[in-house]
Amino acid sequence: MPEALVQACPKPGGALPTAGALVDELGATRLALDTCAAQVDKSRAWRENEQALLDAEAQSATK
Amino acid sequence: MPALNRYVLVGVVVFCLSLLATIGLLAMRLEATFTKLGAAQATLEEALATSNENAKSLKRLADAAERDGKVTAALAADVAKLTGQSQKLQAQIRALAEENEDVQTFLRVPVPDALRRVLERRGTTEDGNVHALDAGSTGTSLP
Repeated sequence: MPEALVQACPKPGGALPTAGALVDELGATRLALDTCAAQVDKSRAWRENEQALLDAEAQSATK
Repeated sequence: MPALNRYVLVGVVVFCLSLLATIGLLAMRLEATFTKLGAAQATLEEALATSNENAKSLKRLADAAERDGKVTAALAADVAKLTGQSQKLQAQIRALAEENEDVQTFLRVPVPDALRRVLERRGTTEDGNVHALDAGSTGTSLP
């Protein structure tokens, strides 16, 4: 699996003294979630594609 | 004359025998050569099969590297797009804070210490997710 797909998901965090910091944290958390979701989606697509290729290869080998 | 014929006959017999021996020897060498040739051909075919298998493996690896490169590039494009959207959102919030006094006031509201301590103390649980730690362990409690 490509290295980019197995990188650890970002985990934002830091000091939260004000509501503004909470809003910043919300934005960072959304970005982290979206980034991680994209990573998961790409990982799933990559795995399905690789499995399809393996199946096709196995089928052609049995013919 | 009869003695001469006998010598000629013996010579012919010796010549024929030596000719037969030479032919036999050549036949043996020829057979050995064919055996070696067969073995060499088998080795060559085996090497050819291995070479073909290696070429297929290399092609599979090259194809896999190409697919991996595409998916990595696609992910990088997605992340770049998401980062751009996030930066745009942050810029909108900053702009809003400058032009809207209510927003500015809200963003400056301090987070109550008890809540802040809980939110800032986070840990990774066994399920791999990040959660606020138990408030009891920090000495603070929510109302």
